Amino acid sequence: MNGVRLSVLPVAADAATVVELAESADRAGIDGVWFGVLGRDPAVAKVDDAYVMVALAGAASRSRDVRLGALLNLAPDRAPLTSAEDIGVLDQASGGRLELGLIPSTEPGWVKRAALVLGAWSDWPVAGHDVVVTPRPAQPRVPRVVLSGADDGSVRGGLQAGALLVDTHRRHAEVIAGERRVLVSTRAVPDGSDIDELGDYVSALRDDVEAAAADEVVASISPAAARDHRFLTLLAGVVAPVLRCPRTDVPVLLFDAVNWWRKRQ
Amino acid sequence: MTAPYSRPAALGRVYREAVRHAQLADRLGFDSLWMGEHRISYSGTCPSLLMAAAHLASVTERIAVCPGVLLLPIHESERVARGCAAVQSIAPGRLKLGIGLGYREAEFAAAGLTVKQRLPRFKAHLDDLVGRYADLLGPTELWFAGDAEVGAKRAGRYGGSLLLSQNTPLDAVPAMRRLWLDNLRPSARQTPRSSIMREVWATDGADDGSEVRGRLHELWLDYGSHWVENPRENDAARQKLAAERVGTAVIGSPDDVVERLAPAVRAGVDQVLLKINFQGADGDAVDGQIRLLAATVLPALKSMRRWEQAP
Repeated sequence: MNGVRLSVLPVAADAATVVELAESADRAGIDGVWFGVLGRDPAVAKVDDAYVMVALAGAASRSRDVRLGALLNLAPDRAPLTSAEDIGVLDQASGGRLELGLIPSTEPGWVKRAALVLGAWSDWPVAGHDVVVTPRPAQPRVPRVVLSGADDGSVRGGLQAGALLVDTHRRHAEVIAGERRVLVSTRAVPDGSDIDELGDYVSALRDDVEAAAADEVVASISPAAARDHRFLTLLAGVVAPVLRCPRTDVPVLLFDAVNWWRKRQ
Repeated sequence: MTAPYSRPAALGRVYREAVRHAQLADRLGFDSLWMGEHRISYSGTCPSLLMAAAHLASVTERIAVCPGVLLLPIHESERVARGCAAVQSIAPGRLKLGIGLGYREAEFAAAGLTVKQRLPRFKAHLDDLVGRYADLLGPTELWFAGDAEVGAKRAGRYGGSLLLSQNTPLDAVPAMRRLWLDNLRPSARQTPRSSIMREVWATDGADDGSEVRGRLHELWLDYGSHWVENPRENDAARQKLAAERVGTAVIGSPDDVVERLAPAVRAGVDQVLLKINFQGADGDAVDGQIRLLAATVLPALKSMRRWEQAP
C-alpha cells in the first residue's frame, strides 16, 4: 500500500472536460488523469485514439505535475507510425508525463502494431528509407500497462462489476513487458458528508488494491465530478492519504483529513 | 513547433516556447496562429498538428489555432475529423484547418503510401471531411494550401479559403485570387477568404537580420535536399535555390516590411501569415519579434483595410 498512486478517469467526457480536469487535478494534487475509450459512453461517439491524444495534448499545457494516461486501442485503421509520433509529441509537450494504457484486441494484427509503436524510436522499417521516428519521447521509457480483457465489451463489463484489474502480466506479455499494476475502480466515491461512509469506501478500496497488488488506483468519475474541484480535493486530500497510510493509522488520519477538508469548503 | 535542421534544439524547450509565443500573440492582438507539419523529420518538426493546436488552444483565449498545412493524403480522414472535434471541444470556433498534398517521398512511404497516391487520397479525404464527417468537423474552416492554379481552382470549388505560400510571388497573387474567385462556390461552412504567407523579420537596432537570413538559408537548404536530385552532387543548384528563397523573405525595418507587404493587401488578400519562427529561431528573439510586429507592422497593415494578420 505504501506509495500507491491515486488517479482519475473521466467517463463519457469530452476534450474540454479532460483539459479542465487536468488543471484541477494538478492543483488538488491528484497523481494522474487517464482518458480513453475504456470509459467511453456510447453517447460520446467522437472518442477514438486521435481524440484522446488531442485532448491530452490540451491537458498537458494546462497542468504541470499530474501524470497523463492515454488509453489507446491501436485500431488497425491508424498507422503505428502515427501513433508513435503522437506519443512522442505528447510526452515532449507534457515534459515527460505520459503513461500508456494499451487496450488489446483479439484482432490478429494488434500485437504487431503494439510492437511497432513501442519499438518505433529504435527502428522503423520503411522500404528504401532510413527512417527515424520523431519526436522521441522525453522519458527514456514511457510507462505502459496493458489492459486485461480482450475487448471493449469485457472491459466495460469489468467496470460495471466494480473493479477491473489492468494487468500487464497476462495477454501479450511476451511483447510488452509490464512493470506496473493499475486498478481501475468504479466504486462510487462518497461526497464526504458522512465520515463513516467515506471510511467504508476507503477500506473497500484498500482491499481492492491489496487484492490486485496494484500500485495505482484509478477512480472512474463522471464528467460532473471531473469539473468539481471540491470533489477532487476530497480525493487528493482525504482518500489518497488514507489509502497510503498504515491500516492502524486509518481511523485518526481519516478523522483529521475529513476535518481539514470540511474546513476548506 | 520545429527544431533546427542543422542545430537541433531540446524539444521540451521548443514546446514550452510555443506556448509562450502563442500566449503573447494572443494577448497582442494577432488573429491566428499557424503551425506546419512534417513527419519523420529527424530534427523533430511536430508531426501531430491537431495535438499541437489543442496544446496551444488550451492556454489561449481568443486567437484562432490553425494546423496548416496538414498533409491530408497521409492521414485518415476519420482521424482528422475526430481530432478536429477534440480541438473544437477545447476551443469552440477557433480552429482553422490548412490542408495540402505533401511531396516528400519518405513521409508517404512511412504511411505505406507513394507520392502518386496523394491526389486521389486528398480528394477522397476532403470529400469525407465535408460529407460523412461534417458533424465531427463542426465549424472548422478549411484552408487550401497551394501555389498551383489547379489548387486555387480546387479551393474555390469546395467553397474553401485559399492559402498561398511563400512560393507564390507577390505579383502572382492577383491572378491566383482571380482563379479562386472565378471558381468559388457558395459554402454554408465558412466565409471563404484568401491569404498569403511570407517569411518576415522586422529589424530593430542591433539586429540587422543577418542571423535570420542565415537561419533561412539553412531552412531552404533542407527543403532543397528534397527538391534537388542528388543534393550533394548538385549542391550548387541547392545553394542557388536557397539564396533565391531567402531573397523572397521580407526582412527589413518595420516600414520596409509594411511597404513590401502592401501590394498583397492591395491585391485583396484577407490575411497575411507572417512566418517568423523558422529554422529554430531563438525563442527570446521570436518573443521580441512578436512584440515588434504587434507594435509596428500590425497596426500599419490593419489601417489599410480590415483583415487578419497571423504570426
